[in-house]
Amino acid sequence: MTATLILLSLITIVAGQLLLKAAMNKLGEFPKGDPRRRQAGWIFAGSILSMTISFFVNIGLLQKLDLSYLFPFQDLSVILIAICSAYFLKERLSATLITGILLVTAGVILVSAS
Amino acid sequence: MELTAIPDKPEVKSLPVTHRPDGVAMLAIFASALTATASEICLKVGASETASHPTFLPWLGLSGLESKWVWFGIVLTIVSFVAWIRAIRVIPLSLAFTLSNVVHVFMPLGCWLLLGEAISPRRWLGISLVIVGLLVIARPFARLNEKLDNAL
Repeated sequence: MTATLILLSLITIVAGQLLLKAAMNKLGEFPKGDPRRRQAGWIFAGSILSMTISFFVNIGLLQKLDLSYLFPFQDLSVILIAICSAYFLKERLSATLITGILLVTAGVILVSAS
Repeated sequence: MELTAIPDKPEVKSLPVTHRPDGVAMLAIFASALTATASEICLKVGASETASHPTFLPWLGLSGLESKWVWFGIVLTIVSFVAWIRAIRVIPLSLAFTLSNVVHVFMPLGCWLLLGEAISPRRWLGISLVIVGLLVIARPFARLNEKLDNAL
């Protein structure tokens, strides 16, 4: 059950961020008054839903587990979000960014594991 | 018969000023991370307080809502969220999300400074690694920003 919930919290974190950025991209893409901007509203709603689920699943997990145990799993979200941004949002992952992501992830794991 | 009914495709206009990467967006990430840290601490305090309360669907943590700390946490989460939206309106998600990991620097430092908790050498090493990683990705971004400023 705990493993499922940790997985659910990861998926909803990643989906929430991706949808939010997708909505913001849509707003940036079309000028004010364009009907396509309305889609952004729906995507935004989806993102809020996903983040709300993640929020409550997170509190549920915190009631059972220590923050220090939970954090290393959440650290995976940085890598997952980078991969998904490149795949779904067509963001370019430069070598510098990948280096930074790996350094940050390694650091974060050390911070949470000690 | 004239073909006047077909409207022109709306032209793709250049991005409005509010959608260009800027220093405010970087500050927004910082503010978002600070409030997120405070929120996480409040939520943990609230969740621990209410962990033993019986409730419907216990895995959702709804009993946490009985604690004022959880409500502080919710307000801080909303503030953090608004700042976050300001940031990712202009910064690519892969970059912004990595930068938001500055919370892992704020959190132990906050506990050290405010609560007097000790930080182990391993944790200091982790904090330094995070800071180095953040500098690696933030510096090219700052340069890009300068180029944009000069081009305008």
